[in-house]
Amino acid sequence: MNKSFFLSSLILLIFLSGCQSLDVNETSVAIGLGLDWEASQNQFRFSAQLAKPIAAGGESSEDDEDAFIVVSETGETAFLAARNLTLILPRFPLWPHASTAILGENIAQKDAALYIDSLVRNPNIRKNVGLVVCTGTTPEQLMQVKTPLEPLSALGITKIIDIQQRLLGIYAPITIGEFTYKLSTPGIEPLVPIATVVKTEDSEVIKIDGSAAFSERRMVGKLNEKESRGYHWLVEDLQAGGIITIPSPDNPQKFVTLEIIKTQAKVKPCINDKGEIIINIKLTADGNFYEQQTTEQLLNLKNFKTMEKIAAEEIEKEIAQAIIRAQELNSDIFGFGQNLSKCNPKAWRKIEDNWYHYFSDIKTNIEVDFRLRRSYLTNSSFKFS
Amino acid sequence: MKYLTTRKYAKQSVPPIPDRHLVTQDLTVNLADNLANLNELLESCYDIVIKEFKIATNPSINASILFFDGLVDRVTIEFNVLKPLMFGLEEVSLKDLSSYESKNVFNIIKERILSVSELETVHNLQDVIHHISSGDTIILIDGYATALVAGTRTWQSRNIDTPENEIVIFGPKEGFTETLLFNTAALRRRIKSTSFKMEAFVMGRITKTDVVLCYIENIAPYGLVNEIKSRLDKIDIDGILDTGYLKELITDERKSVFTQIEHTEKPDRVCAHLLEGRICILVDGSPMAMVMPITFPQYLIASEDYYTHYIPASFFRLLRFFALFIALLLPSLYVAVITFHHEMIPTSLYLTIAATRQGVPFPPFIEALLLEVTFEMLREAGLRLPRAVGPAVSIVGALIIGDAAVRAGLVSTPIVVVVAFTGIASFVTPAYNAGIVVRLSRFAFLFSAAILGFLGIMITFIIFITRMVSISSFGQPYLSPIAPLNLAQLSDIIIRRPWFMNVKRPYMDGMENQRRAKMPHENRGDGE
Repeated sequence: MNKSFFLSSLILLIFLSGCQSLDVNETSVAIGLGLDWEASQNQFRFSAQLAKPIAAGGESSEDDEDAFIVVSETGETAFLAARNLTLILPRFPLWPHASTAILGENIAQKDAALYIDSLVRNPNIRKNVGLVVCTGTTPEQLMQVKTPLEPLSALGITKIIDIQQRLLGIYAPITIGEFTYKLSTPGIEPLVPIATVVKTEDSEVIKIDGSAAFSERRMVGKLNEKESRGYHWLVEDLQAGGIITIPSPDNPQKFVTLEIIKTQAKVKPCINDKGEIIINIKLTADGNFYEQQTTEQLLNLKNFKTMEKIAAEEIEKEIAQAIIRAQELNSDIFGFGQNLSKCNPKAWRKIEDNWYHYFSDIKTNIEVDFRLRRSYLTNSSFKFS
Repeated sequence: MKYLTTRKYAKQSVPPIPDRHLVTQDLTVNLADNLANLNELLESCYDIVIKEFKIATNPSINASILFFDGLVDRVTIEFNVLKPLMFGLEEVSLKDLSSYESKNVFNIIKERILSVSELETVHNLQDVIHHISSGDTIILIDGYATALVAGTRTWQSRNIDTPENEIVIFGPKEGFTETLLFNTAALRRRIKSTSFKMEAFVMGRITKTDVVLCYIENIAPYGLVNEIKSRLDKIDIDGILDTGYLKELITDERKSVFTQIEHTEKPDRVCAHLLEGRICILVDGSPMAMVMPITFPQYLIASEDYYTHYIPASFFRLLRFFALFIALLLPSLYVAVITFHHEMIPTSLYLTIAATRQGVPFPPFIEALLLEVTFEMLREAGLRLPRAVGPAVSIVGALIIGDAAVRAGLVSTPIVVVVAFTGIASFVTPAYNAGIVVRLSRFAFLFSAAILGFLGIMITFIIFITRMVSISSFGQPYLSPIAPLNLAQLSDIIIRRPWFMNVKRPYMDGMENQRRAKMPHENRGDGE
């Protein structure tokens, strides 16, 4: 009796489980997710970039054929729009492989509450999916554009953002997880890279151009390249990579390129006697000498110091620009409020409710310490004889 | 420990051997009667040789010798038995016969005439039959109710050869043969100690097979030796043709697929086990020695590990543990991932798999099952095939199954890779019969992966481990030293402990003499 009971319950346990098996043949992998607002219909438009299976054996037909297809559907809610895809798609869409989520400009400027829940609640969407906003085009059209070499452009966008951060250092990538965290935390707002389609003579490419600042659940404006870099300096974790150009110390018309090898920003807000909030920003950065346009010998002690100073000033300028722009937009992308709440919770609690009233008047005190370290393969300047 | 019962055999009526009444009889003084009885017993035995002759005394005495042709050394019989008996007695009788107090011809023959090293006397027909069956020569002399047994055993046997199934690169290449005497000699040659004991048993109601129990006294636990002896005593079976017969009759868990006894063809491996206090059983006619008690982790140890440097040996041992898990789990993990957990593999790999699976009619589970069964069939066929057709099977296996099946769209490429990889991994385990366990369990994992994915694999794995933990091999927990954990011993299981640190034998219940070596620094003290 005991044994048979055990056995039958074991069998029931196995066969009455809720797991569904799903054959690979019946699935399609979504690499990119796009969300936009169809103003004419007052509906969501959900589009997905679906990867075609890669033919094994290297019989390449990449050039003639796209590696993906883009499908899109509309619906009253984001989730319904996504499910409506099954009306046109004979495959089971798999969301967990998505690498980029693209917010259309229209929906970014509307309320984030409209779509954020569908991204956060859904167990099939990873929280480390990269997020971009697209301007000048719709997510659907953006995903139609191929990125060079990377056959799946949605994957390409994430890779572009990651690689430019290490080599150029302008835009900071943001994931859905970070985006929702920054949206929901008082005193900090997300800044999302913007992807656009750039038309050249015979082709179209996707380019990251500027970043979108959010405030009060909606996109409020754009930061340009310089301002985005100003923001990037202040990303609090240790940053490495990127380059900066400064005017040459001997000839302000010519430039010197420096490579950033390490930066670290410390942001410390304080309140002075008059009750003003002052943000102290201390940035230490290490860089290497990478390129010069003049023939003057720059690598001597005097010029070294001058270049360090110019670089520090340049960085300071960029940061200041970004802060001014953020204050214009009334978007606390730097998280000054959050910083304040950590340093001085009492003061923060008083001003929390009308933080943006204070934010636009915040004074900042930027201190940059830039150090030149190495000069790579040569320590003298190139002389033309 | 559980004890064996022989109830099964006792219940059934064993058909009596027809000449049972004769067999129990004693020999008589009358040679003619004895011969008549023996003739009746050995009726229709083509290979019996009965030679009647007269011993050259005065008056001459009738005598006869009996042996089975083919089991004896004819030269010994002719020159050391027959010739002295027929002619040698004359010389003796002239000089010494009178001086023998009893004029007992039998004693004179036994002590002075026969120049054979092994000489015994037997009194009843049963012993006579036993001895001639073993290749001894029986000498019956008229007037004496005792028979002389001259040890003349010799027969054609296979040469000592390299074992075909346990191939090593380093270390001894000698293997056991079918002849028990050669096998015991191979062990004795390696362990030259009086505490190395070999106890003989005769087993098999009809076959009367010699079985030898080998152990090293003072190392092998006393209780264990007694236990095995008592288990052997309780066996009642018509014949023992191989160690495999005994294996199922004496293990603790007879119904379990997990083998608790190791089979090996290599004397050096047996000696290594003996030195660690284990017990070996040799069976006449079988080139395999049985070693017990064996726990599961020990199956992953190759004797070669101890002949090579400990660092590479440890690496290969870790590799074997890895291969064990591959052999056990890889197909089921693949099926589980492809059927249930699509998000667990990298996107590009998923897309590649999706591409190869396009148009494949079967779900991954059926695919895996088909190929696994095919692989097992190929392996089984490869074992049985005559050498001449062997290559044909590998061609069929490699080309038809591997390539053509993929081209025909019957199976996808990744599953062929998975099954091939698993197949290779399952042969990494040095012990062949442990590999069988892994191969069988793999199917259980495959089924559960197809039903419940990772959850199913987990459940089966838990059942698998629980079962292993619950059984014991002659009182040794089957997973020791992993469970119950013994870190000191584990260091010689997971990796190969270097000899200069290998001071203690692996602990067994009841072992008294655990120390096997001195630490190097101890040696240094008294050596210099």
